[in-house]
Amino acid sequence: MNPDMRAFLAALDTEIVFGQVAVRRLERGFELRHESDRSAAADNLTTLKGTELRTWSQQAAGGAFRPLKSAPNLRAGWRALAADSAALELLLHYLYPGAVADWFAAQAAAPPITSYRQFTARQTGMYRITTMLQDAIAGAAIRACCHVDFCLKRRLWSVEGLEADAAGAKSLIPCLEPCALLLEFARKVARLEQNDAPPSEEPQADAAEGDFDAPSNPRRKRFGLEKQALAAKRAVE
Amino acid sequence: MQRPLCASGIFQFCTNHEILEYLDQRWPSANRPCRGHHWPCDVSDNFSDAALVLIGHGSTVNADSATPTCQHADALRQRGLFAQVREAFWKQEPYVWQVLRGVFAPRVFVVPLFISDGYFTEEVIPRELGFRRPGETNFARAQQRGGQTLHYCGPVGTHSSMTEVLLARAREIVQTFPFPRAPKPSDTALFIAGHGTGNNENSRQAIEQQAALIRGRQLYAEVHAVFMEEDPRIGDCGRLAHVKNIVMVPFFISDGLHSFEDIPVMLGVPRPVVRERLRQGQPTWRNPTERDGKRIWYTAAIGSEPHLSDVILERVREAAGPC
Ligand code: SF4
Repeated sequence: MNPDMRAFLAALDTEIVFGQVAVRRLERGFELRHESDRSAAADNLTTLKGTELRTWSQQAAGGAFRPLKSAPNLRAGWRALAADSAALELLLHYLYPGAVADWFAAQAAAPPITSYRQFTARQTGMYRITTMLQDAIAGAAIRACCHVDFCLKRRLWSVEGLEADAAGAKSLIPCLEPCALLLEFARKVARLEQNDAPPSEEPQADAAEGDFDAPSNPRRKRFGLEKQALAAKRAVE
Repeated sequence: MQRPLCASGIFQFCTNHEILEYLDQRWPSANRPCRGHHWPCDVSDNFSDAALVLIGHGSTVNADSATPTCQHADALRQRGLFAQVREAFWKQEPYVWQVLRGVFAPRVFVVPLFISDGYFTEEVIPRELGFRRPGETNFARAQQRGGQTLHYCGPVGTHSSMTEVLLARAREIVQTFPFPRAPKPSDTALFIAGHGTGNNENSRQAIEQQAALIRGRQLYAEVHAVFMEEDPRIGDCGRLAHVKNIVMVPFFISDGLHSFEDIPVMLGVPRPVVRERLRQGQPTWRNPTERDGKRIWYTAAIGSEPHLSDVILERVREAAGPC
């Protein structure tokens, strides 16, 4: 058994909630279900097997693609059984790819955390522009992108002037470095900052989670609020 | 020289002469992992102490991009050859920069599911895996990290055995849609379609190489490489082919906008029709379609071809070396 799974099983007494998933020990093997279904009768839940769980986790209610598995919109209504730890490892991997390993790595004496500056400094091509964000704007972009409405990972990395998420915040799953959405979002913010275009005032239905070109993207709307808060703070100072 | 790997992946069917020739070609004797004197040895498929990591591009806006990588990871996981099989992506979790944290086997083989050498396979992926430091132009493809030996393998698309994948795709489409009857390869022009310039990858070279390899086998009446953004263009296939039957295989890993929408449009289906078919969940191309006196079969992207799993294994064997 891999050391990350060994540690995970050691932490799993009778039940553990990992992201939005409750993992329970059964007499033999394990059961996984959405945490909101913790008290549901098993008969009322659809049993998903193996890769069906990956397919399930790919879409939000309404069919939208989920580009980030730690988004707080995992659909409920299912349960999955794992006969042993190897099967459990795979199911967790389908739901939260790489998350058990990150959870384990975060417990090391010196967790492998990569800050915004370290991460963006090594980027090339179209992502070079992300290095140009000033700390305060980068902070607002990170606050918006990693907001609990959009992601349940506890952010351990940061940028100058921004706190990492507190222990117990969001979920057990740590975030050890920026994700692809953050990188893409930071790029968009850098472009917007260059043009300094005022945010559109018109209320619009939310655009897709990964579509940062649309002003109605939920993270972009959130960024608008974060920038307002930043401006207010600066005015006070 | 053909690589002397027999179909089973074990060298037992090869003569000593072939093996030595192969070793000379693959590993200059100075850094050859074994001298070949205790050959045939276990260049077998014993990877029970090894992890395989497949790297795909992925996407933040659609699920299609990751599908082939997941498909081959599933297939190879089922075959049980490796202690662990993981997929990783540039745009989806687990990310390239994240994946090795969850890989604990003493030997690790990383295979990029990309069609050519280029910006991603030579720069982005090695950098994010820690194989290559920023600014370095070259990097060691096998590296020691802690107790692990990490092997960075070549991309699948440039491997010579991709020829089999392409031929399988081409064969399969006319067998599935043999209307009015399946044409013989000798009456068919085979087109390999790629992106061409503008995407940072040397896809043209990889495609032309495959076209030359297949041409050399003299199976098809004609073999052409065609591109979306370069000449010769995909839309010119009717003019280029001297025979009536055309089979077009897109040399892409994932089906997506290019293969579902752009190429059918280039082949003559009006875009509104393609979009309507997409909306209704129908195939955007009907096999075969008659156009300007030619009968055209158009396949799915090669990335979902089951034989691609074997190409992945070939890349691993190559990196593992003998003994
Ligand atoms: S970078 Fe932010 S949005 Fe991305 S996974 Fe980490 S916490 Fe979530």
